[in-house]
Amino acid sequence: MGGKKRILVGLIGLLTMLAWSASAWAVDYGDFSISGWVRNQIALGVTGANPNNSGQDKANLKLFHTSVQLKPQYTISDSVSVFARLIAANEQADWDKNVKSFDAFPKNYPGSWEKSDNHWMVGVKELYMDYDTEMFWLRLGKQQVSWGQSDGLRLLDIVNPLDISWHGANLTEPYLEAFDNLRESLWMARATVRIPYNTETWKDLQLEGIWLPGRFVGTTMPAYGSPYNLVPDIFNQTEEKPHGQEFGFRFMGVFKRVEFSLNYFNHYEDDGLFTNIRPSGTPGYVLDVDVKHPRVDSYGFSLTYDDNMNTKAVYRMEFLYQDRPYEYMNGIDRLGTIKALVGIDRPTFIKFLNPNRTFSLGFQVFDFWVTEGADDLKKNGGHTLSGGSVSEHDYGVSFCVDTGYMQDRIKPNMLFIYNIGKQTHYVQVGTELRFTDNLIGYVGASFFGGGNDNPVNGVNPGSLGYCDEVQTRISYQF
Amino acid sequence: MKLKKRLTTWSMLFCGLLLAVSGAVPAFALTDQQARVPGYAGIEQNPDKFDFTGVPMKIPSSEVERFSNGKIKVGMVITKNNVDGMKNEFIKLTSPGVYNMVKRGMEMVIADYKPWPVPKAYGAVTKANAGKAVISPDGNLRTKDGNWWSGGTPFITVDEKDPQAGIKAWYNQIHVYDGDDFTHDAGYTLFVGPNGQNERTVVTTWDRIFLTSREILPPKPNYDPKIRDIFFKELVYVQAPADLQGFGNLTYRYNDQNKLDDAYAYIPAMRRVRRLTSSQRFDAFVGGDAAIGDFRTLDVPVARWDWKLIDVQPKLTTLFSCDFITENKNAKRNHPTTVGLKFPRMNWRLWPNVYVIEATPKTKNDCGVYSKKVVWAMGGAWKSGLADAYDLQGKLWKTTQNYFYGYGDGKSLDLLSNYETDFYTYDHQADHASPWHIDQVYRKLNVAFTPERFSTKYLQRYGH
Repeated sequence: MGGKKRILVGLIGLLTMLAWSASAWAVDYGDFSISGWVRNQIALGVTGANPNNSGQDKANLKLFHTSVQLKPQYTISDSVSVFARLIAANEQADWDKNVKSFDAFPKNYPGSWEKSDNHWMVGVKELYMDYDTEMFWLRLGKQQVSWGQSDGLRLLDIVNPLDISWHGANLTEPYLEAFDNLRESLWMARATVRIPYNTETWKDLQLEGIWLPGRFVGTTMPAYGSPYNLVPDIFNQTEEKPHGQEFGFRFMGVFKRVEFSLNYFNHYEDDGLFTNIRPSGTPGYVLDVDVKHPRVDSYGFSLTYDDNMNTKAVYRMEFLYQDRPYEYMNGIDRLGTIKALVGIDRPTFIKFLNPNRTFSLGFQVFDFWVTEGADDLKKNGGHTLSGGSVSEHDYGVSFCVDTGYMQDRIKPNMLFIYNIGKQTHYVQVGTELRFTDNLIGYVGASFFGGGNDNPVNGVNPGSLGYCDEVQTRISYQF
Repeated sequence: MKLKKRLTTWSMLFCGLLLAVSGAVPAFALTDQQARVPGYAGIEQNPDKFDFTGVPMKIPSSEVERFSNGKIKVGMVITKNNVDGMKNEFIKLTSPGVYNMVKRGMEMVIADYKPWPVPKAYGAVTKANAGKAVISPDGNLRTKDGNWWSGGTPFITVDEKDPQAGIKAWYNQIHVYDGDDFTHDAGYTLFVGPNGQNERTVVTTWDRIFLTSREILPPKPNYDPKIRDIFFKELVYVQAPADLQGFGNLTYRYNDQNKLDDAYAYIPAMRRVRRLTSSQRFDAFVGGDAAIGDFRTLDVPVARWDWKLIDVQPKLTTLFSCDFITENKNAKRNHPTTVGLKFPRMNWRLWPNVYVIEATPKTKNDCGVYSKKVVWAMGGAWKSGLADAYDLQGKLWKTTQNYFYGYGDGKSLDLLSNYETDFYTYDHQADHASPWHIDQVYRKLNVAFTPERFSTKYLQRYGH
């Protein structure tokens, strides 16, 4: 038995022992507790071959991902605790003869605290210490920070990059996986101070600061050959990883009954720009490119208001302004870019469909707006970070709905995103099935469709038809 | 072919492992006999710590017989086999909902009356504020000088001929002694099907601080003179199952009973605090049979409902419904039930003057699922033990109950904490129940929380 198989068998054995002693719940030994799950996810390809993988046929099996996650926590005192999320995973999509062997876990950077090869990975997903008093909270370690108010879209949620290497279809929304499973945890310090000024008008005022000490980590893309590969495998990429700190601030609170946040984040762009594209001298590739991660200033705010007496809905707004870099004449140019979103959430009884449970309805309108010079840039062949052509407005709508039947043991859900400018759409339907407190399943499907006017893959959802899939997921949790 | 074989083998292995692990889960509970710990004896052992104003010290056992024409006696067990012989008397002493539950298998142990007093410090505030409470034209409870109510029972006596008797009795219920803050370490919400089997369980922690109407802990009556609009702040967060672990809910309840709550939730899968609307108070809470609006039998902005007193009657109620403690940190309790876990088998004791109130929403916006709820408030103690809810067609739909256990003994349980566990909802139409077992070991009143703890920061910190 190989070393990694031993690790997996050991982890499964440990989990089984914990489950024996744990009943349906997290194991709790006084100040130490541990919970977790064993999970298997399968995705089956529905439509055509991935054009980014030259010469490969349609992948029937796109994902066969088995993972074990443990979440230990040790509470040292009321103020101090240590939390970790440990993960081991195995990927076997290449059991499908149409999927050539590929690196399923391409993440590789100092400080990732992960070991992997083409099929296996074991690592520390999160590890941090909390120090908390009533007025001050410090979290130190490898962690995730999520700002903003949008559903399924990332405007202010840009502190952590994404790892879309294992189950992501796109560099922009939508994604095939929950953000929590895609966000790459980073080593950072996060401090929150409560401002001791509370009145009937101003409440819950807090100032938060984050500091990332300088080892840049960008978006982790699927490797060439992966069924989810986004980039044509003609490019020989040389990535220039910047060195420098990233930092941000957020001021938040409640004014009357409006919750607000003001945000600033000084950071490097995670996705990277293809620059200096030139004929490749490396066998197997057509072009050489330099991937650059320019520094960006991001300013934003968010607002929410609960109109519970009249429309019975929560209204959300999120806004982001960036001096965003674009590829221009094989170099980089910057244009003011706004991302704005307005959302409405309303739990609604639709009694003939479900008399005892509301449908949670969520509707969003969003616009990504290049405020100046978009036409010039477009005429001259400028590109966005993800390689797409620049347009002045890129706007769309999203609608999601979910409800619960049989005491929430069956929870169907649906997400629909329509990009008005590009006339493309994305539909995700599925249902969660709770067999017991410990055993949970999911069956669903994701489809991309609509116009395909953009020659560059990975930008226009209409070009992502090869990502259509049917998914199953089964988890044993404790 | 090779792929199909591998998929089949791997899937079988994986499912086999899951089944093995699922089957291995032990039933981890002590019986009442194994874990009996005397506990709810605080009143008997320390009568000097309590104020008995407004509640009789003793009621003869024969009173139950008198009110039931001799058909119900202390010590008897009412079951589906004998309830029809006393149907009219039984419904008069309970409710149509309780009758239907007994017909479906619930058993009731009839026990002697016991008084339910309040701690002396609370009683002193009630006496100091006597006569100061008024219902303002907007339906709010205020003092005569226009401020929000400053603590204690607002209306020591409620004249049943008073046109405002219903709303006054209900405000008494809202301001019943609950400490100036409290914590519950673990509440087990069960989802019990028609055959009595448990379908799922959610474990939560529940903390609350009152910012106004404080009676015991300084600062009082208001925690912060600058913030008088908030009645209480509340934190509820999920401990299990693992996929919901860390989900937390922060609620601000306002003194203005025309306003709905402000609510925020931390969603671990998103790593964010999200604003929630509090408008749908009658949506099934985490999928169960009870809604947030059913808590404490009826939890709604008082001014948005009409409260009509139907009668003041003797009733069999669920005060001191259990004589012993079975909970401890490592053992789930196992109180007696019938039809599997569906119906608690508890003590029911006579209470001489229960205010039976018909509560109706002023508009469909205030409640779109019930035509009315018939709620109880026990005169003198002012706790609400039971409510029957009727659907929009006027048919009996749900019965919500609180099973009150008693005050602690000062040793194994805190003396001045009252233990009101087993919030229970039965859906008559679906034959489905949602008992909430609140483990007692870490329930404590008057913890001395600060308002800063009840913040979105705390939601994120504990939600991970």
